[in-house]
Amino acid sequence: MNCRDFDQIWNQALDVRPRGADVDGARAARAAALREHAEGCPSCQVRHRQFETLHQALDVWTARAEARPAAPPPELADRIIAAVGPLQPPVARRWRRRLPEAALVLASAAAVLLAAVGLRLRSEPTRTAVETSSTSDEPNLDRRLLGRVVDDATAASWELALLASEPAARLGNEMIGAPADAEGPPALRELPATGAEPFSPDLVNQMGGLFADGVRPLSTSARRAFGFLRAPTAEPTDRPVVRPSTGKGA
Amino acid sequence: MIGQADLTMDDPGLVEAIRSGDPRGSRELIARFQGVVFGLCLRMLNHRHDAEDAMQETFIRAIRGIFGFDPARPIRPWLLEIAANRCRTALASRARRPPLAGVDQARDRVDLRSGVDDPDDLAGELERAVGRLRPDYRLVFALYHEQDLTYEEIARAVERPVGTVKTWLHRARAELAEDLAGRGVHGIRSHERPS
Repeated sequence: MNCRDFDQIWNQALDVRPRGADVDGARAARAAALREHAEGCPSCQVRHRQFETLHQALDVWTARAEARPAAPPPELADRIIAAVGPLQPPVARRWRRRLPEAALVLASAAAVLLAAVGLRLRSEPTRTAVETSSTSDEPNLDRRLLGRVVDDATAASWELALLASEPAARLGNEMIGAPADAEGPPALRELPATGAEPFSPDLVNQMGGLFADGVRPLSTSARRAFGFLRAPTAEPTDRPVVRPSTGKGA
Repeated sequence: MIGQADLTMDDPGLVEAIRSGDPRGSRELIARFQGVVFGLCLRMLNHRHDAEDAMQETFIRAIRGIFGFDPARPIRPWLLEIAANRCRTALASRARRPPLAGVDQARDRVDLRSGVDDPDDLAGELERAVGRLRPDYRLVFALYHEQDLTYEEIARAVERPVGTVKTWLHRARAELAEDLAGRGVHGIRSHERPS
């Protein structure tokens, strides 16, 4: 036995409960092993005497606690019962607990449904730039779908900008329309009035037309960070056409 | 009247009685476990009034949370788990509170000196030494040696791994042993005991 074992075995001896339930043989063997090590190790000998005292004190201490359990005042029970009040029925409690979850599920479902409906309600005939492209084969269908997604994202950004700040919204409009429009950016008055529903066809179509014409005013990171908040330049200059990277929505 | 527990009702039956809204169920819960809960609170807080508050809060939380309790579990460790949390909260609150000036709090302090057939007052000395332990060591020591909880039950009550609980308990014992020796308290040595 080494000194570390000595401490562990002493703790095993103190772990034994209830007091006196230890098998006499095991207890005696353990006590003999501990004593033998202590006789040969001065530091463990000191701890051995201390643990012996603790062991005896524990025996008396636990016996006293069992003989005289702590007693609270008798009126405490009445106070507890009065404070608890009537318990809530399990069904009502379960519903109240699940209400936030149900609301979240409903909100998510509504968002998905709106997104799907919004995609399907795009009107193709007014987008002449798309019509001049080749026949409705699959690549064009994908292109149109992509265009719609971008339109929706742009419209959502536009709506948020309007809600946040009209000056910022005007600036954003100029940023979106400026780079590839040789006649200058679309005037604000040409845009539908604010307060229209977020997926207004005219607004979407106008923005869609700009994008279909190759207008790519904002970089992906800038679009993501609402580029309409950037300060305007003095005059429209030739800006590089930045193609949005795929898979990164606005 | 509260004080005499009905030993015929087992723990699952007691839980069912409380859930059904029978007021006798809550009273039975209090009657059966008020001693152990109050004992732990008194051990941890060393102040009768604070221990009563902690005990009251323990039972209120237990009864209100009875629908979330697994009736297959024993009630006693669960109650002690709640009581341990209440005591930790009370100790933390006490640490932040400035001491009241001019208020005699001695009457609420627990007298740890009375013993039962203990001429050397070993139990009293140990009691005072336990009161000097740091709170988490004292809690683990009380839950093991006074409340007879297992290591796993203590780990759940104090929200620590079993290994940590063992470490705390072993350190508590080492500190108590040194404390008693430092105060000149000595038991009868093994070779001096009558066979």
